Amino acid sequence: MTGIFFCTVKLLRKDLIIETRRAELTVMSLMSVIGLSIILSYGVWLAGISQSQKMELAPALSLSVLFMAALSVIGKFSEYDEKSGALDGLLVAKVSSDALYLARVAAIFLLTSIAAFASGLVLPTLLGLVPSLLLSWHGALVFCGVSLGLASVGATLAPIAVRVRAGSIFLLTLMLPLVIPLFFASCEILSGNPSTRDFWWTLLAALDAVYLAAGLWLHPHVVR
Amino acid sequence: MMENENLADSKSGSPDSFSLPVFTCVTLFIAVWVTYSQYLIFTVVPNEVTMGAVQRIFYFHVGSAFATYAATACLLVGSLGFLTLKSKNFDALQLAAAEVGLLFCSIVLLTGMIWAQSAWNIAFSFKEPRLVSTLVLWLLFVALVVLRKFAARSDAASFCAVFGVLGAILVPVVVYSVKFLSPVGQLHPVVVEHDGLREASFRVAFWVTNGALVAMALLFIWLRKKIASLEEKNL
Repeated sequence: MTGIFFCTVKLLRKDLIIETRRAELTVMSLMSVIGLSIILSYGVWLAGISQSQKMELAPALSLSVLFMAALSVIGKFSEYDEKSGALDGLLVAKVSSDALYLARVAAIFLLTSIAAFASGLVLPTLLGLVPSLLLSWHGALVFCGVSLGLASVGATLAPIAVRVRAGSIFLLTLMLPLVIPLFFASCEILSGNPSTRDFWWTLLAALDAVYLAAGLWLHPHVVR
Repeated sequence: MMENENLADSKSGSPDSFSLPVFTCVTLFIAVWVTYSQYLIFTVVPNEVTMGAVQRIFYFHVGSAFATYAATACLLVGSLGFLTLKSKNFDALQLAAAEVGLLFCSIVLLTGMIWAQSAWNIAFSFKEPRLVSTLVLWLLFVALVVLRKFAARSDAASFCAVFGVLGAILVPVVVYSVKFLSPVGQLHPVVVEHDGLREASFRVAFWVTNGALVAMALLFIWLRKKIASLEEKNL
């Protein structure tokens, strides 16, 4: 157990060192967030939506932006692995598959969290709202929950998408059905009926736990 | 020598063990069952007071939903079986369950939309969690079928099994979690659990149709599995 933990930390450190030197994924995810936020807020402005409707719409739009940014991060991460052969090397070196999976989830989670922070900040600002989601504890927690779910599903499915025809499009096809419940639960927590909030919190936590546990078991079958 | 080979094939459950008399009997039995359910729906069951004739779609809708869940269970068994035992038989079961599941889930969605348009004046509503969970299930089956076509032959079985497990374990979480949500504001009726089928003929038609559609789905899965095994053998 301790071995897996230390191995995970080392692998995560390796991924983060590479990312801090290249900064490609961070820049790509931030540019996706900014680009999509501009397009969406322009659409909202064109539709002439009132301020109160904008406030209701903001969480769903921010989460959509986060999903697209996360998708680009997850896809690119696996592309690097496939091109560089780094994953094959680690597997030949008999590195624990659990550690590989957990390190990848942690790395995607950290990068997606940056995108989540950016989408929670940029989109409401462009819509002319106060970025209140980031200031409330439940807003921040929801973004963490979604990021964890996206990272768990993404780390399991990205190695599949890379080895399938039309891989970049395929990641979306594979992730969509698994991510929709996460997305709905988050939207309902942030802008739905307050009386049902407990139910959606439980669903979000349950989905995160199921995806993480299933991913741990399934990851060796995908990378073998 | 030849006899020994045939015996070995039939023991291993290979495509050669496909028995025509058994298949004919099972198919005929299910055909009679389905025909009897149609007879009940269209001639025995009276028109429902509020909705009239449109209510008859309810029998197909719920029966197809049960068939979809049966296909999902087969999908989980096939996926887990392949991942643990690496048997091609389980891969064929997984393939068959995904395709048949997609068919019945499409029927659930379409009949649901027709019924919803008539009952609520809206074909689809994101406020209704049961509709959304069925849409999620449909997307899962679509992704599985497309993944099988797009993946390389050597990878397709394990990739589909991995995705099948992920998808199949999501289904009970999403579908049964809806039961814990407050019924206030939900459009979808909960007929059976709330003892809504008071007339005896409604109940008989309901359970006969459910049984017929589930049996039909299992027959389709069995047939598709046999076809997949034969294709695998010929390649």
